[in-house]
Amino acid sequence: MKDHTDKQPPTLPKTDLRLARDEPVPVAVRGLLERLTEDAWQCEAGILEGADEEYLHRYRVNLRRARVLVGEAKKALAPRTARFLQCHLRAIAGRAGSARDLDVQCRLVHSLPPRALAASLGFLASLETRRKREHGALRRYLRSRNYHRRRERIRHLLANAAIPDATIASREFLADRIRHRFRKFARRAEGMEQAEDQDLHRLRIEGKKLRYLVEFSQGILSPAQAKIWIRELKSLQDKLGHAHDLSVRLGWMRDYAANRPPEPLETASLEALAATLEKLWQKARDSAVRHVRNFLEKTRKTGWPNCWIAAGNANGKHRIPQ
Amino acid sequence: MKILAAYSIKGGVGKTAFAVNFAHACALAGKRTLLLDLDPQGASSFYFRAQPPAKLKGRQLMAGKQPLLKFVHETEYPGLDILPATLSFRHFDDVLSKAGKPGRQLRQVLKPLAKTYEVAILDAPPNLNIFSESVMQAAEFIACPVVPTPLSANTLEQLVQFLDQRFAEHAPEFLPFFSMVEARKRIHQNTISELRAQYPAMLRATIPYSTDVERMGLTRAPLLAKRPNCPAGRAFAQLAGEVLRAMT
Repeated sequence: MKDHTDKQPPTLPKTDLRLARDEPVPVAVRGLLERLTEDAWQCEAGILEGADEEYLHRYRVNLRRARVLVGEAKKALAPRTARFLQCHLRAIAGRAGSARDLDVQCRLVHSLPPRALAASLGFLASLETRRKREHGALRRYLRSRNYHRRRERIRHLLANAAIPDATIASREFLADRIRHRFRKFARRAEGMEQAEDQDLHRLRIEGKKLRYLVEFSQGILSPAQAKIWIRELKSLQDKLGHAHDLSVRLGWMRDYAANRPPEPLETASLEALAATLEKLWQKARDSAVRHVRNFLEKTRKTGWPNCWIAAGNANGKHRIPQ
Repeated sequence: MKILAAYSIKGGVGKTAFAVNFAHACALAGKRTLLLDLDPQGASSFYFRAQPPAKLKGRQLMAGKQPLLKFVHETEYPGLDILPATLSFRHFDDVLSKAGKPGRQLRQVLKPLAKTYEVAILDAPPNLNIFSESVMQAAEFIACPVVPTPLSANTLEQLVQFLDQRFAEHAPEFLPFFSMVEARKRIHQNTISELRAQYPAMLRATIPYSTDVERMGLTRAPLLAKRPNCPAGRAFAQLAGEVLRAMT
């Protein structure tokens, strides 16, 4: 029997996210980019078969990680290579965005309590129809010649890109990028209490970039501590993500309610549901703001990321050659 | 497992349209749902593109000699399965009339489904015979479409009287609703206001008379899957919400 509630998510092999510590940065970055993109291409079959949402999620996350890595390491890669890689990755990732967002939103509506769900069946049906359409469009794109050309171009760029002279070690590169990203994150987090939804969303993206960088550094900068900070950043992102998802759902529901003729019964149930969602969103937002504040407090107390980077420096195995 | 029957004594009132759209709405709401097309015309099976297997025999199925789950078809909608109808389902009445306790027979046949499904929807044929009686006995809820015309109001009255006489204590919950409503017609307006006053249990949602419902025969898909935002699609969503709330 076909039933999404019973289905177990497929166990996809984990991508090795660590930058190779013994190689020069351009080579290590290229190796990681190859792993990320190849793992993304592996998920294509699952997406085309419509086997499970997890394939699309993994596909999108790997492409996003690759985009973050190219963005951070553009100085370490040849400028032309970095520019073309960014362009192709952005074009491909942009096609998968809506389908994944709709997957998440449909799952969230499904998780509503039965009475609220019964009230929002029309909204859910319209989401499901959009979702089906977006998945169809994505599948068509993945089968298209344009997509295959871009994918082959990315492979070719990674295999044949000119490697600039390596002047910097992976550890030094990561330490510099993490410091930079953390500063940006902390700056963006200032005055969060009055921040608008868009600001919170940007903060979330900034946090995501920071987490990816910490993930890339797992094998290089104090690995045991990296795990602790990845967990912290993940939980922070979950909170920010939950608030963002609720805000998106609320917006979509209001759009849905506004673009239909007035029907007293349905309008009343949608309004009641919107009021519940608004309360949930307010709660999630407050919790996210509190979490960000606690996170920054913790970093101040522990001196993260500097002390952590220094701990990585002290580890003799990964000392930068002078 | 909750069992709901889409039933009316009168034919052509929108039982199948309701059964198909409600089954899809239940699946949308995350309930494992089985739609049993018990009408030999097989309209629900047609909508879901389900072909009945040659081995499926109405007599044997109702006599409990064939396991029902063996003939269940998956639909393209997650969580929704269907038992397709065959012409041999016309013998149900014959089998039941020979059975010792016809009322229990259908309930026995449906019993094994409880492990697999949360909701079973019986798309019953019109008429008032022994088979209809067993459908009423097996179901906990009866959704009855009513076209707001005097003739339809008359059959509603007959059905209510029959339910009162036949099921003194354990009567299924009766959920009538207006179907194929043409709001511009004075006769429809008057009948609706009269029947609402007479039957307070009448559901609030009304299904309009719409080409979109007729087009389901062309698209062969529930309205909520193809055109959720058309007036009939919205009405079915609203109706499904009301029925689901009544069932919880």
